[in-house]
Amino acid sequence: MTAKAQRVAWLGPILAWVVLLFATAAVAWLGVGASGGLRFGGALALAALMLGTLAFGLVGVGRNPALLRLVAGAAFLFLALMFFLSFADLMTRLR
Amino acid sequence: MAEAALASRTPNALREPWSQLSRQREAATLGMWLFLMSEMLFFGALFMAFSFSRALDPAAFAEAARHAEIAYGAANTAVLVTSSLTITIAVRAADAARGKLAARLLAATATLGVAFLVIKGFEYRDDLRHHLFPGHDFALGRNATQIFWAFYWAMTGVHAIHLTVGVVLVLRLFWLVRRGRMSLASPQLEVTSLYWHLVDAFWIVLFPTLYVAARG
Amino acid sequence: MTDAAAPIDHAEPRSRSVIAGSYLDSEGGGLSEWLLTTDHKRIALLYAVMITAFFFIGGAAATLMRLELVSPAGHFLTDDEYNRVFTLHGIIMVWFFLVPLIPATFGNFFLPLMIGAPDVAFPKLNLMSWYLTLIGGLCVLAALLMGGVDTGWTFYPPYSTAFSNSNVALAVLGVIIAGFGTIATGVNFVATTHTLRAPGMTWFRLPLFVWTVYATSLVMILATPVLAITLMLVAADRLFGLPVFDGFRGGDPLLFQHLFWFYSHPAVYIMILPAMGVVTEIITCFARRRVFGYAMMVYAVLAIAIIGFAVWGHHMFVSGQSVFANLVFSFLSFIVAVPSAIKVFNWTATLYRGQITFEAPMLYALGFVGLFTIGGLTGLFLASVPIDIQVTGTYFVVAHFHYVMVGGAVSAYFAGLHFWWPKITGRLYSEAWARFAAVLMFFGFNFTFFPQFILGYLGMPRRYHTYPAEFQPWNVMSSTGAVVLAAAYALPLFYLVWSCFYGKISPADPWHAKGLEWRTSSPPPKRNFLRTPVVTEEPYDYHDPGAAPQAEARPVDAARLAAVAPRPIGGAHG
Repeated sequence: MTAKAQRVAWLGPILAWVVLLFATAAVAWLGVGASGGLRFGGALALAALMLGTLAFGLVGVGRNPALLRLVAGAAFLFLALMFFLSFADLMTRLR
Repeated sequence: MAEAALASRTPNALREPWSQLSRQREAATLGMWLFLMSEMLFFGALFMAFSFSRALDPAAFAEAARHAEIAYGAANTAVLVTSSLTITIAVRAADAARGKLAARLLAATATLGVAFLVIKGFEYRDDLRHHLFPGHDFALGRNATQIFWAFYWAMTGVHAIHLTVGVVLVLRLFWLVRRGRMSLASPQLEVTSLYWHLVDAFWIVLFPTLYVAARG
Repeated sequence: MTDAAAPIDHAEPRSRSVIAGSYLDSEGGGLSEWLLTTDHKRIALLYAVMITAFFFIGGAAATLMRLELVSPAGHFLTDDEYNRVFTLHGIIMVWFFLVPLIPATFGNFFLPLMIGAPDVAFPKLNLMSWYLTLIGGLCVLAALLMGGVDTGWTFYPPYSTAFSNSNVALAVLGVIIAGFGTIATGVNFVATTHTLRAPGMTWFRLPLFVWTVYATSLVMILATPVLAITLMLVAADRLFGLPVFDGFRGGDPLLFQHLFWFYSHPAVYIMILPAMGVVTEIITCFARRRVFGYAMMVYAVLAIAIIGFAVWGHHMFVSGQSVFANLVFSFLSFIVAVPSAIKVFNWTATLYRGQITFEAPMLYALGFVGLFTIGGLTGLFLASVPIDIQVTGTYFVVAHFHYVMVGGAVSAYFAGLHFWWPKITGRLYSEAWARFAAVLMFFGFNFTFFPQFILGYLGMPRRYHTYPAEFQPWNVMSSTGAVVLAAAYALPLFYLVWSCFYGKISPADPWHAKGLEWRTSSPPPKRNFLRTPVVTEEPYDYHDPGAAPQAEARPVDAARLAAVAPRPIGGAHG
């Protein structure tokens, strides 16, 4: 590997790490500072952002062969099914 | 130079039934991703159960969540995220045949994992002092606040078990690489890092969800 | 034009022993060689022994139940004892018999052979799967010896968490550990199928058994972890007092049911999909026909596996689920029947204009088609909410699932056992006894379980050991049938074991079948093939595409029939 390529190989993960640290701080701030919908929605949005940063910046999912991305995606698909149909019950019960 | 000599001395990573190391690595990576898929369903089901339970009584969950210490959670998140960085670079160092660097970073990863567990231990101690374990002396009453805290103990407990397994795996890799007993081309490095990232991923979702979003 | 053109790889010439040079001989016969093996074929046999042992334990529980149900007032079991017996029956039969039944035995033995590989992708993990299943089973047996569990195999809270005085935690721990073994097997099989196919073995040249094992493995990986976490939460409540499902503190017992059935419905597809694969292998071979609609069969298998994840709520129609959810799950349950129906049509079309012979594997396979159809149709009745409200919790449901699981999966297991026996052991079994056992099983099974449809419709609840006197005739019929069924299950044990010592030696390809497993010796050598096969044929290449063969004597007939009955067959050539 060339020296430049080696440096680039470290930079991606370090950048992702910095993003993750900032996001952690943002989540903590939301916990103490904000309230209501902003806190709820913001925290979940940051969680999604952090998950994506970990997946693409550190794990390198974007560089993986299509098969592995399909595997990762399949888990989310079935989780979504689990959430959706369970909540379909919960949210439509007569109170 | 010493690195190259080390790499050439370490034993062959090729195992049955493979005839080529590249195919073996492909299969090992695929196998680990399949296992990660199962772990995503494992933790995901916990999150589904948590969300479902919260929807039954958001007010009680909000009250209960306010007793979760954000400082501990944030500190632990920072520690774990850093450990994901160190293990990522460790694997890349190994790929570049830099065994000594890889070993050091593996040691750092394991140390950070242990640090997480120590911080968690302090947090658990505080939680118990505040009577936040469901049961007859629970501090917040006989209602859904206990359900929130049941999830807290169950989810952080399951996570801690997974993390401990990860620490053991990383320490094993550190020892093997340090002693030159494992080839730097072995699939085990990448496979272990994938597992480590998964454990981190679970925490990355847990902290915003349990400690912050649930506060309502 | 009928016989396989591909040459057969023979291992070393047979000397004194059938097994010399094969996998049975390659590592030595000591116990430690067997218990530390990483050869997928030996691991398959380890599983077969374990599964048979568990089948006897679960069957003993069933025997107790059917004995008890002969009279309307419980005559030798108390209510509590009966609860423990049916719970044991369910736990053992579901997790330690049906789930591993075909994947862990024939899947392990034949997946690498059918794709032309020397072993699975992770041989050591394969052995670990067996140990995890064994340890889990021992935990459950320990729970049994300590008095058993009385919650039913479904472990519903709040009874299982807050009220039961039985060994719930130990039993669920056993199931969780076994579940890890299942996940490991699933990972192994998927990785193997992706990475170890022989040159020329493209995805659409795979035998359908491989496709079904592959789909099953995906279901194992995705569904089992949800069971694990759900049962862990039950254990956490039992052991640490963590009240996740506690209605008194604002939890919801129905949440458990959502999580539990999210696994347990796909679990039944884990049981039936490989069975369907076995049946396809056998029907094509004994009808001498290519499978009708290979591509549709593949898509049907994948559709069953995927849609099967979306129907779990049909187990909860009367549990307090919302009406809207009931409708959605009912609709999806009707949809999931469609790919299964497509498979039944395709098997039928495969048989059409075939040169059908009725060896024992074919008898079992045909029995599967009939019994699975009945089981599947009654599943559709249950998918209809109004009907389900009437018959849920009754013997109608019990009959339905026994038709698909026992009439279906177990029949297919016996079909595969006979079909592949010569390959696994190198011996031929007694065809006359085998055919008798197959027919006996079919009659015994229907005698046992058909009356239960009637009982359920008339209103007899499940899990009860006392009942109104007017139900007695049907119960007696069912219990009598169970005796016949038990005999039919016991018979193969005798003639199959007998064949290991005294049976005729089998050639590499006794059935003149297609599939790479028949292109190597019987039994196979340790590394499966002497040379890696190169695949050029389509699967089930029993005749030219589009051809409907005329009746012609098959060379195999003369040799096969001569082996079991000394009368010569006139007119046969070859």
